[in-house]
Amino acid sequence: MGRLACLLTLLVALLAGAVGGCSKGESSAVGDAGVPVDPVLLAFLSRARSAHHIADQHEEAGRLEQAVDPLQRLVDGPVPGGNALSAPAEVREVMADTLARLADLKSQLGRQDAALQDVERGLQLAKETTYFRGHLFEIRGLVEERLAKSLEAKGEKAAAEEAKKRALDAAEKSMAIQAEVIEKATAPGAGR
Amino acid sequence: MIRFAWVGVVALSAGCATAHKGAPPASPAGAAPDAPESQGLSGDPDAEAGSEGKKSEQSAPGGFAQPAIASLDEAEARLGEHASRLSGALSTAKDCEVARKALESMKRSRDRICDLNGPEDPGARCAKARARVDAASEDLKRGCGS
Repeated sequence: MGRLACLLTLLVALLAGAVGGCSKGESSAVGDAGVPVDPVLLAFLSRARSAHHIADQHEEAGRLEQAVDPLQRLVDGPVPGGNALSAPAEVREVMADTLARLADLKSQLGRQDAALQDVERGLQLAKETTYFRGHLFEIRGLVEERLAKSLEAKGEKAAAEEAKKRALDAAEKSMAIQAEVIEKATAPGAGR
Repeated sequence: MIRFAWVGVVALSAGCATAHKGAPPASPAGAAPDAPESQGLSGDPDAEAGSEGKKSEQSAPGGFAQPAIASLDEAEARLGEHASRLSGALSTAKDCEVARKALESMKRSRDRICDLNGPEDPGARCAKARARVDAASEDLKRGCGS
């Protein structure tokens, strides 16, 4: 416990820039440890956490439509800096992750077009090779798979085959991105 | 002067003082005890003796007892080293957490590919996906130990 207290204290010192001597200028939204220290950013992250918590409760109770609401408000609401595309990486990652979850929920509700639009919106925010980009492709694969199944059930075989092909492509793309993420994260010297 | 500087360093890492509490003994009984850090700095044990609570805190079994710090520069350098190590450890933990999440994502995609491509596996897409997950699992084991 005492060691934990020591670690947390040093962490706080790091975040505050007390050890690293980082400036208090507007550009220092992210501390030396890569963790946000900007109060506006912290407020956004807190809001996101609450939105996901509310969505969790609705989803666990099977109320998918209600689970969508708080997440939709989050991605349509204000973001630090005013523009999600130029927001700090943390904000874009939270937005991308939320859009992936929204896409999954909407897809389960049978709204495949809206789900695919959320995926596209997320991919605009997660352009680098990150877990979040890989996850968005994973969700695209999932949505296309559900679309393929629903088209097949309607007897639209050609369209179902097309959706299935897109699902496979998206899943493979996702795997390629995540493999690269793992390779980078575990390479000798990465974060070490 | 040095003493005040030390107080500053201690204030910065306030929680560290509690780390000494209840820590396992660093040296066997009978061995020369590590000098309390504040004594080493002030050079005035009497001044420190006035604070009984502080003294007992520092003379408690000290698994994390440090050698005396001779100057503020040394204290700052030591704090900087600890901060750097902590930062590195946090970064490693974060990398491994991301890698584990990425592997879980890969496994879900592999299952999707194998399901969609059917048992005949045209183009060996399922087989390739499986091989990719195996390789990534090895990377993760090698880099993160699990």
